[in-house]
Amino acid sequence: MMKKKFKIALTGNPNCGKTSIFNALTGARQHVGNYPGVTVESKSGSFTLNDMEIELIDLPGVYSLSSSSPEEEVAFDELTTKGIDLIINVIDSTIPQRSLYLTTQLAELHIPMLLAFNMSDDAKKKGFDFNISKLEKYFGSPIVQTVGSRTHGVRPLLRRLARTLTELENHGVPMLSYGQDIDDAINAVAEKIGELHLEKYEHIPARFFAIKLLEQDNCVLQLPEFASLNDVVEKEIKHLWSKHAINADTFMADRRYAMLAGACRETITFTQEKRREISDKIDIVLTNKYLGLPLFLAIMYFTFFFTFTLADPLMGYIEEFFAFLSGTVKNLWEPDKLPVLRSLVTDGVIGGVGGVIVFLPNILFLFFAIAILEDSGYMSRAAFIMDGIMRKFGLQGRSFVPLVLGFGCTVPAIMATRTIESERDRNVTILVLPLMSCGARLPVYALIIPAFFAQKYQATIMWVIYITGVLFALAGARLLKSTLFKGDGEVYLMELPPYRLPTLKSLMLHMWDRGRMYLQKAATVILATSVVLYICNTYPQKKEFSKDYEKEIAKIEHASLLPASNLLLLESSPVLSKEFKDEVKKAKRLSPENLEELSTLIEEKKFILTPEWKNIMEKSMLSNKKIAKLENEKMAEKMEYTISGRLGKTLAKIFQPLGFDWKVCTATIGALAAKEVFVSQLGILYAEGETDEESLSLREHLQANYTPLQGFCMMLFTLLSIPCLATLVIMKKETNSWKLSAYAAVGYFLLAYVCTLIVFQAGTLLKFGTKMIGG
Amino acid sequence: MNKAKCSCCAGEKATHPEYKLHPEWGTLAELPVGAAGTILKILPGSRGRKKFADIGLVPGTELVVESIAPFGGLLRVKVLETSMALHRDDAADILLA
Repeated sequence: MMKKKFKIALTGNPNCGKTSIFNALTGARQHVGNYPGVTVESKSGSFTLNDMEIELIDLPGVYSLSSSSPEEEVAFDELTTKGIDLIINVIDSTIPQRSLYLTTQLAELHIPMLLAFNMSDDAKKKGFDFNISKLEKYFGSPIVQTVGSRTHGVRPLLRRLARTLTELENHGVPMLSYGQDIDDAINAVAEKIGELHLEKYEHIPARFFAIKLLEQDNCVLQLPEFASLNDVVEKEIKHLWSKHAINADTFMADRRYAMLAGACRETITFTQEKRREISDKIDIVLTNKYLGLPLFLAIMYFTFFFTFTLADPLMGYIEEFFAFLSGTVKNLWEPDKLPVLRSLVTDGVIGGVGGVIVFLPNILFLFFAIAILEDSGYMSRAAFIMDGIMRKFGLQGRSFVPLVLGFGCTVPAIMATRTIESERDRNVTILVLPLMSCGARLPVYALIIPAFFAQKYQATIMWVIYITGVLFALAGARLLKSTLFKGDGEVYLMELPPYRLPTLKSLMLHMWDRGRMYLQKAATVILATSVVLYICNTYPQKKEFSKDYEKEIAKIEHASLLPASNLLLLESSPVLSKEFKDEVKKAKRLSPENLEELSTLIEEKKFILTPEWKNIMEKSMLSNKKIAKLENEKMAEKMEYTISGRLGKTLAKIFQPLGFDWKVCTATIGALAAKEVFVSQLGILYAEGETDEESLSLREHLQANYTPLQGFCMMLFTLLSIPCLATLVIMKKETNSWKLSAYAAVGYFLLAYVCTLIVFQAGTLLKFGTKMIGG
Repeated sequence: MNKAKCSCCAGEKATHPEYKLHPEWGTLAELPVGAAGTILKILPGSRGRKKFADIGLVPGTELVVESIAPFGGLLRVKVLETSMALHRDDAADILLA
């Protein structure tokens, strides 16, 4: 027998415990996405109940079914589209009067409904007593009491759901009355709607639309189907207005509350009232005028501390794993079989993807910590505290946490802006986020600052760079808010829900959601960009070089071969391992690795350094250095020949006024993949092989070739210019607009170009920073 | 009551016709922490009318100011058993009886 399929919509106010019910019902069988065109998260899941296959759609939490936010529009669209078999309306039974306001609107849809009076344990503690059967009659819907935070608390819901779904045909119909005058107006408009015979909405009673038209709801007013009714509606509104002197946009709300107050008086008894709940007591401290801010900063600090301390060792393991993977593939794949593909896979793909996945532990722990703050209810307190400061810069309280996260990595920071409800504020926050100096830019500063600035100025310069980023971000937010994102915006209303203990299940699901999103990105975009960048950095391959490097290297190698007496001496040493001896015997010379091993042994005082040994080692070291230099020179020649190198040379003309030569330009292109690539790219170009920020000789090269002013300009440009591609991609994903991300990229580039130009030209003119500062 | 002293709007609200008619009315923005009030009217020009209505801020509703955020700006108000934060500027559109 085919399983019967049902589509169920889960609705309720924000913070009513809807998500925990959703998680309890669907478990891990969830799909998270986005509604097209808006940044509202869409969530659906499925589960089987007896012989029924159920698709559960988790609608965004809303207070009302009007159109005052993107969330409400989404909920409205989903519910008025055909195909919803049942609505589960989750009620926070500790605040029935507020929660049922939405219910009165849902009831008018005449879609079968099941009411879940959630948090019934808390309501009981608070002294509420519900006359369930009377309430069921009132709303024409079955009611079940649940405790969403506990697994057994949703069992009654499942039992009742199974029964309700088998009896859908004879589901009750609520008849809500808003008072004679309004009911008359509703009927008059409904009659006209009935005459339109709208096929699209035949499953929804005309009465629902009549009410929406009378309260001048935008969602319905925008529908072209109802345009012809304007005159009738206006007449009815005018009639009501003249009779009661009440405004059209709020009289329905007013009547609904009046109706609910009556209904609650009859069905809900209140036996006792605890004056101050624990939650309020916590808030006396946490949102205190003086303690609130320092406590918030302390909590933020522990969040980051937790994230980075726990993630650090895991990152090491992941790095090792990818190095191992690359090595294994290289060993199994013979170098002469498809050599191009071999190096693309091992160096390009595994290296590139590994470089991204390395940040996964950070993402997971960070979002776990954020989920705790979010689910416990603290995040809205943090927003409450920070709002005053942030608003001065055109941002709002909820922008603060993402901005601080931006110092770590812009990608998760942009993902964290989802907590900002206002789309305008969210977009502004996302757009200024890349200006907060992220962790990947640190290696660039760490390379350049010690090269050009004396010890005593280093911290100051670093501070200047970071502060520059913060100031540009805040000024940028102000500017955007007063130009592109101008306008009063919607009224700011934020609920401060009572503190609740988060459930582990919801924390894990939240963490997994974000982790999965990040991995998807790594598997698609990053993979593609690392391949492209690898190709740009490798091709076209240079075949003919300015000199025969191989021959010269061989010559030096030959000259540095150890005489037989030295090899015998080595053989006689009792400390050295057999592998070491075999290796040296085969090569007849000491490789850099061999020398390193020897030095370690000497340091550990296991191997005694005789003058003879000292002589051997010094000679080998010298020739090894010569070989390395030649190899790097060859690499630089190769690099110059590649697409990146050529691009850099072309761009050098444009960047000359900023004080950049072609090498810096090439490195800047590399920085598009990830900012720290700037360092390794520059290292290759200055023929130091793969470098890191600690590399001394690259610094010497920098000192020889650039002025401190140029060094500062490189840092400034790195800070302000186009963020890494991963950031642009996530920006597109979160704003739902390629156009915005593209404009943003152009904007960052222009900002960086103009600022660096001004600094370089002004500095040159004033002869500032032409030699090592303070040196 | 001297409306010109209103810190949030530099006295702009004082020019609203409703105030001129009834200078004795107070607004939610002026209610001190801990004090309770009943909503008399939401000014017709308020941008938050609809959203206010959806969360229960309609004439006749009782509310209590619970706290004020540091650095000004937000008010925390208890309405229908729920704590809501809203801006002082918007609170100035809510007249109390």
